[in-house]
Amino acid sequence: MEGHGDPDLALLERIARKDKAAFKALYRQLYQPIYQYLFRMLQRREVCEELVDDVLLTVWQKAGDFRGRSKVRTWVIGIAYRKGLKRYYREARGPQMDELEQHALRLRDEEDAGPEGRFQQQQLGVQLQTGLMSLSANHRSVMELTMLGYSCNEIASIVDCPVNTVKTRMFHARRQLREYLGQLDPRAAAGRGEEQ
Amino acid sequence: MSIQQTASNHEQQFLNLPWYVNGTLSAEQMEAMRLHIDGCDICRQEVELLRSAQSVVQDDLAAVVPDAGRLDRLMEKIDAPPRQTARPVNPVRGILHETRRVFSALFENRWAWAAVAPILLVAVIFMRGGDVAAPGIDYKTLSSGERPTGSVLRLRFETEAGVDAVELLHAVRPLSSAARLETGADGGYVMALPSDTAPDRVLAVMQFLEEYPGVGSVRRTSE
Repeated sequence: MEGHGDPDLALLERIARKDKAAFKALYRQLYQPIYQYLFRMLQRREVCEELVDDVLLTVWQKAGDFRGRSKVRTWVIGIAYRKGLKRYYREARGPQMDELEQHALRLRDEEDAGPEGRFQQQQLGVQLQTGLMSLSANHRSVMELTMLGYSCNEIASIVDCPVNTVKTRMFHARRQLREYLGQLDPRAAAGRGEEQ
Repeated sequence: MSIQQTASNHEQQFLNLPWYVNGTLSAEQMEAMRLHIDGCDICRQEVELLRSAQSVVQDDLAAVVPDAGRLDRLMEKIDAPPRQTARPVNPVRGILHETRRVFSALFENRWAWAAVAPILLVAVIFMRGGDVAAPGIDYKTLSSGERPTGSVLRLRFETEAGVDAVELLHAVRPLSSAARLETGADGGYVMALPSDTAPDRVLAVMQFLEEYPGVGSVRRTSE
């Protein structure tokens, strides 16, 4: 969790002293992970591009406030999380869910979808995608941050809650995801959810 | 290893599976998890599901490069002098702005907030005649810093029909691994926690129960 050995720390220290070259370097380094995280949350390219700039502008303004309690990247993703969540709640999510569900139904009905294994894999992917979208924003964030490779402690730092809350949210997210998949395919759920 | 220890080990490992899948557990935890998964069908199936979810999330991550002008535009924004407002200052708005600025400064400064919080707490207690109970939660007892005197601490609550008590208990376990569920004399439920559970942990369990769908207000009982 500490900043020792954090490759971004030296850049952030220079940014705190208003070094523009350091800011440009950090921008290039962090643009992709911030964008990818926000895109998972919001699924809209233009909105995400605009938000990434907003996040990095905040980094420029607040670099001096960084206390080194986490890695720089974790701190920045925490800023992205809060800005993304605010936007998520402001924007209507309905139409995108409908589109994904329509796509899932189309795949299920499609008869000439190629080899069966590939079709099933593709179908499971879409079902998982819609399942993730059906989770509450808090549960989904914990699930997706984990899938993006963040540790439990880092997620606690990003979403600003105790580690046990992260584990509880993850537990509920996994249960809801299994229930969602079970509703779509009761046979598969019988195999997957025996422990429930 | 006893059956109870095995079950407790499974619960612990089951909770940590997502971080096994993303590879962020310590080397020691990874090894223990690998051994557990080898002998546990439930965890093996869960790993498969988590790996599928992981590939769905990661497949969605196209490599992105900001367009060339993007950084330049941001740098222009950074270089631009702060905008001056031409509007006349509204006095009410000014007071609100100033109050908000002072409170933001307090929240940003942890130590200042730590100094002000006890004063605010005393003021609230004074205004409420010593009773700081919020609906359904006995904060008075918890905030006194006293530990429960009995061997267990009981939290009484009622649930709507359809709430699965066993699932509820399972959900509480990450907060208190020794939590037990009992049926109350009045038909409700009682969550029993060890008496040495830290007050903040008790409070966390109470808040969790209060937020759990279908659970009514939660009270600490002296039984």
